[in-house]
Amino acid sequence: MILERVDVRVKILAFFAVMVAMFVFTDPLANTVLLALLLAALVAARTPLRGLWAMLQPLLIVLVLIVAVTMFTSTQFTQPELHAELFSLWGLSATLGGLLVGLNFVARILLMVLATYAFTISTPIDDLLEVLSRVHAPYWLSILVTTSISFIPTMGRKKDLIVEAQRARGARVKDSGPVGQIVSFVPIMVPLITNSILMADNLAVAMTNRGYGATNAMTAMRDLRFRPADIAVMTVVLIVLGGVIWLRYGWEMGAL
Amino acid sequence: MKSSLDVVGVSYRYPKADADVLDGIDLRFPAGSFTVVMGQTGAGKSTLLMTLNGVIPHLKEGSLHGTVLMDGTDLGGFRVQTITEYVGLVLQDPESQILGRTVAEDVAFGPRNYLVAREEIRARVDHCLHQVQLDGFDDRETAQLSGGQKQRLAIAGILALQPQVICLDEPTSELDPQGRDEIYATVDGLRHTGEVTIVAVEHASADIVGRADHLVVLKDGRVSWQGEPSAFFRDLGLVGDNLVKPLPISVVGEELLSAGLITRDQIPLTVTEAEALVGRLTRGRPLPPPPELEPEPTTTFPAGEPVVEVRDLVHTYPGGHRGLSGVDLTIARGEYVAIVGRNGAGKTTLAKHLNRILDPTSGTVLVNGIDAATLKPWELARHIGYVFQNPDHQIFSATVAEEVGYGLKLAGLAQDEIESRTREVLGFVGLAAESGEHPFSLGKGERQRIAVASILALKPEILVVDEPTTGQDWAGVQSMMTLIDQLNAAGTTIVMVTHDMDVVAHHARRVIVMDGGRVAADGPVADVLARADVLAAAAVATTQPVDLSARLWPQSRPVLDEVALGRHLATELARTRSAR
Repeated sequence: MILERVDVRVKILAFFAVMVAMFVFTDPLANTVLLALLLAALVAARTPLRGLWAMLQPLLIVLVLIVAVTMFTSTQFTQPELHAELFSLWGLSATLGGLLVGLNFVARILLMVLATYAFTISTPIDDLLEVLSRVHAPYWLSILVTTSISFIPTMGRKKDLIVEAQRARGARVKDSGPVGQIVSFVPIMVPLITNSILMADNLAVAMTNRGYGATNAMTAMRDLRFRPADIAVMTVVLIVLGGVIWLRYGWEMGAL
Repeated sequence: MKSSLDVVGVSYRYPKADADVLDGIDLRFPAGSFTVVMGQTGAGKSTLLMTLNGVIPHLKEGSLHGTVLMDGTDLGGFRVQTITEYVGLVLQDPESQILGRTVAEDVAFGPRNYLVAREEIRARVDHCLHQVQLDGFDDRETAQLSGGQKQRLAIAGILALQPQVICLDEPTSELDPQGRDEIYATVDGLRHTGEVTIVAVEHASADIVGRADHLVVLKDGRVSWQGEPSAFFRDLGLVGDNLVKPLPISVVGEELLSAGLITRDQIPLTVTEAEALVGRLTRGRPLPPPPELEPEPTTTFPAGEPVVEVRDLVHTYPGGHRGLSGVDLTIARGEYVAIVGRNGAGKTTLAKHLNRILDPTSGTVLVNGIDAATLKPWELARHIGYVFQNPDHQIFSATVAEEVGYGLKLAGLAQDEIESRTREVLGFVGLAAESGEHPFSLGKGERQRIAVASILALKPEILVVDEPTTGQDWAGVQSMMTLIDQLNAAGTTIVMVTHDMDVVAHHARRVIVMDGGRVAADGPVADVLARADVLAAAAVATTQPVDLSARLWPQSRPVLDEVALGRHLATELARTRSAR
């Protein structure tokens, strides 16, 4: 994956450039072009896209709902032909403009998902922490982030053990729909909380045992260094962003 | 560099406690020595270790008196972060000590706090991982490690600070025999370099003899005995008074001592010593084996009907790992079965199928002749009780009685029935007086009894117990096993998952050895324990009495009980002596 080798700061810049660009455009067509460009760039950089579907799947219903609602509710358009009625339902009229606004929202969400996905799979947490320390964030913040992340699998396993223990006593966890879930909420959450408190107490001792707090900083274990390729990527990102702004405000393109 | 530690008149009381947990401790840990601290739960072992590097009083409230000196310097005025560069402490639970996503990151955490240069940190990571035999594990995710590997990583994390004294709090109590061996290989390695002074809290008697230079036994917050470990283990009265588990082989020796055949300092502490001793006493003449006893029937009741039938059971975990690959077995009513095997052999996976915590990938489990897959887990819970290893994963109520009544409430029983059953079962496990207490105000052993009681209240015909003795002291092991024995005598079928082969030999009647997701051996305990080749392949240790009787009489059924073995030897040796 080429993206993994790009400097994290360039990736953050690119991420924000995508965010700005998609809000500059209000025309779904323009944002779809942007989406296609981003997708093409990711494919060209040989980014694995297998995990993307898992992120999109739960969103599909939301995307459909967004279009369905905005079709009827959007009323403010600059161009008169956008007020054209497509069809009406129970006295509410769906407009062409409303449909386009909805599709634009969908295109923006897809762009956001794609950009976030590409950023997270290509950026090790250490890179982010290094950026945090570069901007002089307090070092406990990085510790907070790393320990939380390393405790996610631990807590997940604890939760499984607790669910098993309560099921063995006859608790109807996950067998009885949402009502059962709520009934069994206390027997799961209370042990989970007591266990986390006990673990947090141990963790505090363990961290002190390892010298946490001895100094007000930690040795940085990696460096961030711009390579010529990073400069090139950054230049392309800035040109594209500049182009987007120029098209939108110089040529009044990409707006509804 | 190595340093000595002196503990002078240390007393400590936890906030709101009625009595001192440490009560005037005076100890010396000489530079470069390996000292083991033993004693029952609550004797103050962990508390003592925490006073050594300042966790007490800096991180725990309470009142501390006395001083800890390192090479004559009073550590009282220093912060934990300063002391820990000299005196490192590895806590009991490795899970909550791992602070990095990858192994290398975790080891680096300590030195990074002291702003050690990056290249130096890398060198230390390599060196410490080598010391704990985790070479090449640098980029492995810590979440993927086994229990033994996590424990060794926790040790490496402390070693990276290059302390002169390292304190280990029960480093092996949660591990299987293989994991224990790995830890002791690490400790032996540290000893070999002679760079550090080691202080360890430990329950497993057999691992200590021949390793530790010095043994400190705590009882009720005081040093009740200290000296050479062998002197302690040869004095069974002393061992018993301090509630420490005796070495089974020394019990054999004690019988020879009381028959007047040997002196106290001849009591053997290893099987090899015992074999040599018997050889000397017989002058090489063979001893008759103990009379062949008919194997005990595996059920106490006349040929009980099958209650659990497992047919060609296969379980594949999500991700493709094979937990079980074709298990067939039948358990009859009233049996007392132990399931043994190394970590990952499939013991718990098998046990979890009995009450549908796990469902078969293929194959069937029949409970009382009914396919378990057709029953809901909460229906099964009334037939099969499952007691988990860690009681804290289930306790959520404000009183002991409520906790025990929870399962009954779920089963839809009337309030007065719930109360009477709760009272009955709390009386049975010996917690009647505590029924109104908060579970977390009680000790771990008592909480484990609450967990057992909460399952027993449902009156299951079959009880599955997962690691009932892990992490318990000798008294806790005894009382838990007495409880399980009583249940079995009353007709409950027992299925016990365990690593403790002494418990298996003394309590179970049938043993199933699991290896690689299959049944490697299954039968009466004495018969299975005699099969040294099968046990070795499955990484299951045998017991000292079985080992000795197999060495003395390779052709006979081994003797499970050390007292019986000792008496037989004493009688036969006395006879050969008077015959001369």
